[in-house]
Amino acid sequence: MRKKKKHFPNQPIGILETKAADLLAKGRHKEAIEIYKQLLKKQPRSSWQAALAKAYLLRAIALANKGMYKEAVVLWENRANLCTDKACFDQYIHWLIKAGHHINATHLLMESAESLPDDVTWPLWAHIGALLLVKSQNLLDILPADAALLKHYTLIKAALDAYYREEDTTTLEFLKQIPFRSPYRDLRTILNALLIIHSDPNGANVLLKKVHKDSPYAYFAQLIQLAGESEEILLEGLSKLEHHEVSFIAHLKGWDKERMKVISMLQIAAKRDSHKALMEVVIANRLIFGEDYSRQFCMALLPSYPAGIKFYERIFGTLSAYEKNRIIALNYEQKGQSYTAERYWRSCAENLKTRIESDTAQKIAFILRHIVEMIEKRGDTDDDDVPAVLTESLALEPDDKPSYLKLIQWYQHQNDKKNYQKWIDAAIKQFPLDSEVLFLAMEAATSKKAFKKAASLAKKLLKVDPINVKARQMAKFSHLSHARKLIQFGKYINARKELEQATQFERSNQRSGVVQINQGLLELQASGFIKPKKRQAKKRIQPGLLEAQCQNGSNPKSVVPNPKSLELLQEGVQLAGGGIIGQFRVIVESKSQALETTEILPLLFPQNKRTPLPTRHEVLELVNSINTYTKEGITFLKEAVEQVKEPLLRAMKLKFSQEEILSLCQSLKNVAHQPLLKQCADRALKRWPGHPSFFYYQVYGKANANIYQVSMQDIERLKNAAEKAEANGDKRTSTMIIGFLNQFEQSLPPFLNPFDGDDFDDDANELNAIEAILDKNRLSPNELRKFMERLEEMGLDLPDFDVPLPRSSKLDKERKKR
Amino acid sequence: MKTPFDILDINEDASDKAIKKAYLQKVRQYPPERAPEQFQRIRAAFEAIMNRQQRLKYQLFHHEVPSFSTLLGRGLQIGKPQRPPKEVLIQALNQSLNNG
Repeated sequence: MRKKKKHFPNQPIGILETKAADLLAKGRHKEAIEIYKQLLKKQPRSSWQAALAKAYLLRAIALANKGMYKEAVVLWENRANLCTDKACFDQYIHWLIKAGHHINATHLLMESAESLPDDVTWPLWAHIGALLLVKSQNLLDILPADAALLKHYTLIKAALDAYYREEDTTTLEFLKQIPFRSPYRDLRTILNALLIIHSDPNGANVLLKKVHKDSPYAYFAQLIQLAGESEEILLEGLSKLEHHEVSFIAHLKGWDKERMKVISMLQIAAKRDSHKALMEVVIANRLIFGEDYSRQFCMALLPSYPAGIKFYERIFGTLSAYEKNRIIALNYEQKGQSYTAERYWRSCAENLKTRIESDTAQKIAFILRHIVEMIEKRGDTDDDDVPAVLTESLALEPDDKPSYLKLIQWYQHQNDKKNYQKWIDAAIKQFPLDSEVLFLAMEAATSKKAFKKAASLAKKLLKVDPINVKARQMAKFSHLSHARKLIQFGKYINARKELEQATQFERSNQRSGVVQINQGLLELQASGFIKPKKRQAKKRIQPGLLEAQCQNGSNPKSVVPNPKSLELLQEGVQLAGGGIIGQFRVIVESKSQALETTEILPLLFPQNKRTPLPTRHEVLELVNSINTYTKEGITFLKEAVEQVKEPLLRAMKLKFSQEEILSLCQSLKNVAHQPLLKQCADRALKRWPGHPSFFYYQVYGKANANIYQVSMQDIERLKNAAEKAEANGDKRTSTMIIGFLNQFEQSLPPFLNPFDGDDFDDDANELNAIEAILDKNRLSPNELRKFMERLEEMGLDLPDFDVPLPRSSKLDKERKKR
Repeated sequence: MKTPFDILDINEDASDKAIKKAYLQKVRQYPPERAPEQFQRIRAAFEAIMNRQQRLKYQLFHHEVPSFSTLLGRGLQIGKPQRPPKEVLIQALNQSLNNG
């Protein structure tokens, strides 16, 4: 529907003039033209005429940019009637060419050739030259016989003819005669590219890229480039091309009619974007794609499109039950339906069991492991099937380390020591030189306190992996532990050997002194100076005592410490760092051998003097040492710490950072030294008042780690501290406090739990629940009384119990009041 | 659908040794510093089929939905390239002059 022209008959000239100028400025040329035309009808003003000419030109350019060349030509000619200048004359000629007025354009170009610059006329001549080749032979008649274009036209035509005849040398000879300034310069480049497009596609591409984007041959060059693009780009490009262009590409690629049909089918299938369409195209054109390729392609498609199994079987033959199950299993896996996929994989394994191929066992093993992987992905780590499936897989194919590791981990997690060890042994048998397996075996031996075995495994591991620090530490620890065991049984000769071996695993610059302390302690016992507390070793200790007696010729009790043992002990203390750490190590190592420290410490540390104030570094080293012993599972660390308590408390006045004090408190909590923990926390709170962690440690220490000893006020304050820590982003502290508080909350039966809103009426159940708590926590009568009082304070109505509970006067008074 | 065998240009019954040889040859052709993407593809293909176990696992569990483009690649690659005849070239040139 055509738009109605706007008329402004009654409007004053001034308003119309302003409006026209405004429309012209806004690019609304068509409306501006209308108003200026009306204005000129009223008055022939030169300014309006110039404005109308400008509007015509701008509108012509806008239309030409939209490809409306005929309209652009008309408008340019309208403008020419209004003024004498020939603005955008070259563009006008170009529009004439594009509008099909070739003869007119050629005439104008010849006439104005001298007035227009060469760089403007060259693309126009190039276009006329191209037209001469493709359709406008009549132009030949209007060109003068001596025109350069005609000469070059003859050369390019000869080159093209030679190209069609596949006479490449002749083609090249003609092309060489075409000069750089020729309008056929770009076609020359394109022909050169076509000559090498199959032998040197990259070289052809380089040539094609030389064609300037403003050249009339630019689009043709791009078309040829498309032939060398990837499949996706090519197919997409083909869909946008005209028939002749597709045909041109088809020739360059060597596609015959059959293949063109396949390509058009692929184009349609691409639009449908379905597996079914894809399978249909492949099967319909399997002769072109090749039988094997088509079969493989469809087979690969089936897990995504299992509905196509029947279609596939009709064409390529029946699939085995195993294959069908495998396809369906993969399909369910793809859809994320792990349980169903697992069922089909199990069917696959069953199907395979009936086969007698060489790789059947391996295939079943792989499928079983795949099932375990799916179980793991689901997060069903406690699935009881896991060990059975893995065991079956290893029976079929034993060479799979991850399966052994999974089994070991599984049994470790289940705390099934027997099976854990069984699979450690099996893994070691299968992979005797694997560092990961050796390390696991070493850990297992250590946890079983089979130190001799652990040390031997550590040696093997260090042969495989000489820089394994953990193995080195473990080897040293194993030898040390084994030596302690031997010392306890009085086997001093063997113990010396073990300690000697332990020294080999210490780096000279990282000696902790532990080995030397143990050597010193050994010598003290061997010389009979000191005996272990445990007398059960008395019988076995005979060889050692004999050794001492032989050396000294006297009763062991009267033996004085020999200089060698003292030297070793002093060396150990020095290596440990002296002072408080040395003392602590001697205490722990002595206790490890069941020796009385009161008999040993005076030999090394003067008892009449006060232990010097430890340095900050020494305290931190002590914390490290406590942590290491905790990890080793030493159980008497509380007593050992008690013996260094005094200098440790004095050292609290040193300038420790908050982190350092926190680490000390945590270590004290780990060794369950609650009084010292409280004292440390008290002092830390003076420095950092209200700090949630220190407050927690203070309460924890004060209550002796027993939540029932914590007052209700402190419980409330702990809750606040947890909230404060949470707000400060200190997740660790908040979790720690909540964990402690939960011990209280979780141990309450629901009707006593202030955090649980459920009501219970059954008194028998309530009583059973209370009794269960009392049994579980073994509260003393006083603790029980306090517990009851606290519950009353919390506002809980306690049921009447028949059990005789100790009552406080306060509780009785409260009850009477009620 | 380019399988690891296609990527390494080897037969499906190739031995471990042949696979390794083909892999090294490809790596020389596409070294990681010059063609990192191709190298990644080659490396992944090699790892998928480097030994019998891997090949068996690939056969059992590998599933890549064959893409349209791989089929297209196959469809568009087949055919012997030719020189376009005169009419075809002129018509294409004419068409491109109109479109350009």
